[in-house]
Amino acid sequence: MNGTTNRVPEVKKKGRSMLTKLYKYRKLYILFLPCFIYLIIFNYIPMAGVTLAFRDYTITKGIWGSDFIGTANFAKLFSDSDFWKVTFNTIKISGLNLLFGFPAPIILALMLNEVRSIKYKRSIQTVIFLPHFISWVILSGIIITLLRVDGGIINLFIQKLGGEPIAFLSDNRYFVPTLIVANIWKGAGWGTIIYLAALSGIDMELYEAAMIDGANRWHRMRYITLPGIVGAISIQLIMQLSHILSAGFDQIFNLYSPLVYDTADIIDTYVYRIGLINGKYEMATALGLFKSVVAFILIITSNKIIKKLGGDGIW
Amino acid sequence: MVKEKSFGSVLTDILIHVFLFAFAFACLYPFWYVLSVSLTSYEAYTTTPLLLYPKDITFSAYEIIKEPDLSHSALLTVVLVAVFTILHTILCIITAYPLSKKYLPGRNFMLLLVVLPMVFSGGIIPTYLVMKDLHLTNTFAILVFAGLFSGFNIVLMKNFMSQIPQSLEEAAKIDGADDYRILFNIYIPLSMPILATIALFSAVTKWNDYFTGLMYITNPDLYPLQNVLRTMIIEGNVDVASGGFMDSENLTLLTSMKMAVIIIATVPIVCIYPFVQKHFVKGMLIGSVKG
Repeated sequence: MNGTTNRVPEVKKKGRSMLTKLYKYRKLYILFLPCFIYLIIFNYIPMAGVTLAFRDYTITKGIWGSDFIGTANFAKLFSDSDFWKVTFNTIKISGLNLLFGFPAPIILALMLNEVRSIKYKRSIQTVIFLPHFISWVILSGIIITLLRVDGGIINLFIQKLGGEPIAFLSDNRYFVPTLIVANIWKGAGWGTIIYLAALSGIDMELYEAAMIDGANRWHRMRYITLPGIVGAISIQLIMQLSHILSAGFDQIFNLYSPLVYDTADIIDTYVYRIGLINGKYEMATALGLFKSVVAFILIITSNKIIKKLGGDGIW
Repeated sequence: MVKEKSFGSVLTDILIHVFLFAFAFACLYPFWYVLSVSLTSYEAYTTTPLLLYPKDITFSAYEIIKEPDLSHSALLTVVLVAVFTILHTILCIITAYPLSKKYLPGRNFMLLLVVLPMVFSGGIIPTYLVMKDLHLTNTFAILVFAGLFSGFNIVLMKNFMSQIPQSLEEAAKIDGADDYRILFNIYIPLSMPILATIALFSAVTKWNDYFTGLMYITNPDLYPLQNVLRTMIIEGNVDVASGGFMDSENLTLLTSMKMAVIIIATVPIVCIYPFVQKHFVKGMLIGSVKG
């Protein structure tokens, strides 16, 4: 008699299996279900589609029916001079963006931080933040108009000052600098907000104590302000470094033309053209895969490096 | 405390104010120029193209709004953005909620599933081929589905929700509430600031999206606004490629109409902008607080 009553709790313990847990939390899992389905269809199945990079694609056979040819596509890719040209352009443009575009919001934020009038600070902030929300289609339309060789206002100014008109968007010498400037126009406001938020987190008492000890503006900036935003700077730096192979498709696609392919063609625009326009699916996928893998490695590595140097990583 | 203002300090202050003003002016002037050209009559523009303000004001360039391609696409895009924003925000909340519960078995795996596509993707060709096989090309649906779940927003929401005290949930459970009621009656009201930020940003992103239309749509009736704009403002632009121009009269007329189109397309963003400003800094500060 005692044996039977003792068995019941044991059965209950065994029941705490996977299925019971799934049932217990079923309402939460159901909430996650739409996302799960979406991710499978729109992200993970296409991810499986990268196998196309290793196949000799023919439309009739589709992705899975086409012959598997190993790394032959990549061999062809790396021997194509166009590949090296667009990769070089991509890294060059990203590098220039990093060199000139990365410090710009930091400097702006530091300057805005020194402004005492809240009204002035607010209005400047509002104005410089606006271009971020305007699409590259519209901004490109504006840029094209302003930089027109004939009648564009910038060139009219240049001519008034006695110079020759410059074909900013169709001359290989000027296209990339134009890109960098336009990028600062659109993006500086966004970064400034981020750094201003970081600056607002610095304890005011530190400044007061420093001033009592006789620190001037530059001392305060060097020993309090800059260390205070090092965390935000390192996160932004990781993100920008990991995107080094994406030099801004939206911007370049809307501003470029065959005349400037030599300096303006980046990996993404090249993939778009040979893939969706010329239909060389397997080459475009191979290049896209190459880019994704490198970017993945970059983000993991830069996160590790920055953490080692004492900054905060993303995870 | 003695506040000594050295000459150097005052000079720096002035320089800073001037520089900031100059930068802000440079940000704003292109829009002002476009507005001026759009309001200037053809005659005034040809005589003095170097415009600093509108001359001989006329609204004739804005007739372009009657162009059926433009108005049809604008309407389509408004509906698209409305549908998308509502769906995106709701789906973001319900996905983030289970992810914010540390006790949920498999949560870390689910989180990984969401975060991985942010750093690695199949590329545009495999994605395009999958959509083609699913017969989603040239549909309104694909315009809505693109970007419907954003890993970034989901993680943002999840971090925010994790900070809401567990005690609220426990108390509600004692009172007999199930997960849905807790989410709806407790977590959503508390998450309003972040929700507003997410909704606004996703609306703006969708409004500005031209790539989805570029990739998947060839039917002109389904072109979102930015794609129509692209055709009018950028592809309609001869002299980017040729360096020369056609009939100068046609080009000028075309120019002021292009300017009008740009202004029309910018107005919705400018209207929404104050709301974005208000919520963004709040949302940013909330989202960046770690544990």
